Amino acid sequence: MKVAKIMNLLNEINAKHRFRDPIYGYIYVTPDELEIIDTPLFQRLRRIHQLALNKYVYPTAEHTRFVHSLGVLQSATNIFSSIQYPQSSTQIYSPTESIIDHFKILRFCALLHDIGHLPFSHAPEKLLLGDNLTHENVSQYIIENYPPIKDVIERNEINPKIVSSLLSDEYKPKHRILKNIISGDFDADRADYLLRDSYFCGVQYGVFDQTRYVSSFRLTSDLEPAIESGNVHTIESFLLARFWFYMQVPFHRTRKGFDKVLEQYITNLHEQGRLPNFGIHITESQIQEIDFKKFFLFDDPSIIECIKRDYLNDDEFAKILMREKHLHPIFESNTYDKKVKQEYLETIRRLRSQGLEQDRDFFLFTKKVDLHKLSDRADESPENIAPVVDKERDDMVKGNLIEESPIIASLQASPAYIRKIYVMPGSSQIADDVRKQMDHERQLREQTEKEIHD
Amino acid sequence: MIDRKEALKYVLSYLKQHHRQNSKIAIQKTMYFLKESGLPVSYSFGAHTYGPFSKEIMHDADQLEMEDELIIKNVSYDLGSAFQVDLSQDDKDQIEQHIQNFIDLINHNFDFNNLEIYGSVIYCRQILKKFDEPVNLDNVYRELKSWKGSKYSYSDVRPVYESVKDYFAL
Repeated sequence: MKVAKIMNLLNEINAKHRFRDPIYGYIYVTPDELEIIDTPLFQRLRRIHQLALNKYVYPTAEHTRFVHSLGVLQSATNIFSSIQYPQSSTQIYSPTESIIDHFKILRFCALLHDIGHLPFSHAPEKLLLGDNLTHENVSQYIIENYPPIKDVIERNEINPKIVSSLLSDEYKPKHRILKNIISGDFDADRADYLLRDSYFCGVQYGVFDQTRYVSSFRLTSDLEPAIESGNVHTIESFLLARFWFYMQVPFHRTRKGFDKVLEQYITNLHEQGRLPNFGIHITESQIQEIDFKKFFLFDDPSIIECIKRDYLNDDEFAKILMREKHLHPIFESNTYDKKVKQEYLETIRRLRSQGLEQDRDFFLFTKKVDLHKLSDRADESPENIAPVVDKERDDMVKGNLIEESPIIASLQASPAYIRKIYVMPGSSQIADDVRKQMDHERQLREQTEKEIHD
Repeated sequence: MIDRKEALKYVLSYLKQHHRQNSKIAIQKTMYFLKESGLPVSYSFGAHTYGPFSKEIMHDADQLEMEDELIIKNVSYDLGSAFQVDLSQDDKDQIEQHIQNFIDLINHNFDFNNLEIYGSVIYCRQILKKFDEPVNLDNVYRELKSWKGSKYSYSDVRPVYESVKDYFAL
């Protein structure tokens, strides 16, 4: 990492305040950024846990969206300062929008990217915001309309819509590099949470060489993000860290079980009209208005208070969320094997035939986990996946990551297909009987096949 | 809103059946055009390497693959054994009309570069509108250049811009 270059940029924007941080040592902020951090809606992020109920698996995972947001600010700064630009970089910067303007836009966006998160992160999003909106839409609305934040951005002669557009897919093409730093190929968001979440979980799954990682990238003359050939192993390590982290932390069997129960619990609260008023008014898949005072008070503790009340009224979901009772995982697989898939579907069919109901008596979780997001770029053409350039030869593209990395090539072809079934404690005996019967039938089948074969 | 996954499936089957098109870029750019020309589907599209691109389409395709409705190949899709479209005839008619408009706009030319430049020009036009900036050839070209460097010349962009302008003016 080119420390001098980072400090020069930070000096140019007067980043004179700093916080101690276990990942970066210091996180530097400007007086204007500090003003944003001190707003009620940003302080609210102290009450939204980064990993929701992962703390029931990894007890020390108590960190919040607040510290992650500060971390992404520093991570984005480090990547921005380290990217090598081609000669054609004049196409990106102009007298009306300098490199410092871009740096400020990026930092506002990094700081504010999670400000619209709902309690327990992703669990209630679909229910409360509908199929077509996410917390990022809420963040965009806040950036464009919440006066204590909007005014600070405008004071810097930046249109808040430019900042918020980087949280959407509709941004100006000239800001594509900034978008890539926030959540694309360079991925400051992920670079921070892999390290931070691993640190606070006390695991090593998400750890990678961040110092080398942030200086691994260049832009080609077509302004495409590219990897310097000497850094292929660094990227391999980052992608493997990401994969292991997903499989062991957010998609951990126990965590996903709690997520499913929490989603259903919040659904029940919502349907019964007992969910606290969170102040977001939506019509026709658009946020019409946010009551910022109500949204300020909508956080993890406001859901916990509901759980505690329902626990006292013997609510079965509340008992699980208070860790008095536990879901029973009865099926788990990570492979695409057709036999396994048939077994999964047959288990569900038999649970239903025994009168059990999905999301009341049992829960399902399915997810395809690819090794890396770089495959996004391969979706239309295989020719330009994560180009690898040779800096000794005038940044000539010498191939792509798949060609240059046998590890990535082999793992790319075999993503994980996660399938899990959980059963509520009251239905576990029925589920156990179903599984025993299926095991028995399988053994008989295998025995018959063996006899025929012999 | 039309259920986006069902709309995606219908576009896939229609393009394959009537135009022998099942490439990922054809699906991506057709869906983008459908959305920008007013079909109520909730996909969002960003400025990617080959023009507007929706990761949500890719994620929905992954989900359809897990349900045996789709077979994902390197740069194309095939219909899977459980493939089935659940849309009303009105929705199907509406989608077909938009697809036909798109095919007319691109002069029935599904070549990779043609799809890329049409998709990219429409994206630049729409983004200028979003930021309340004047929509004209010079500004569209400026946006495109900041995205794709020198890949497309002014004379490449001009005819595409003119036909896109005419279509969206209707």
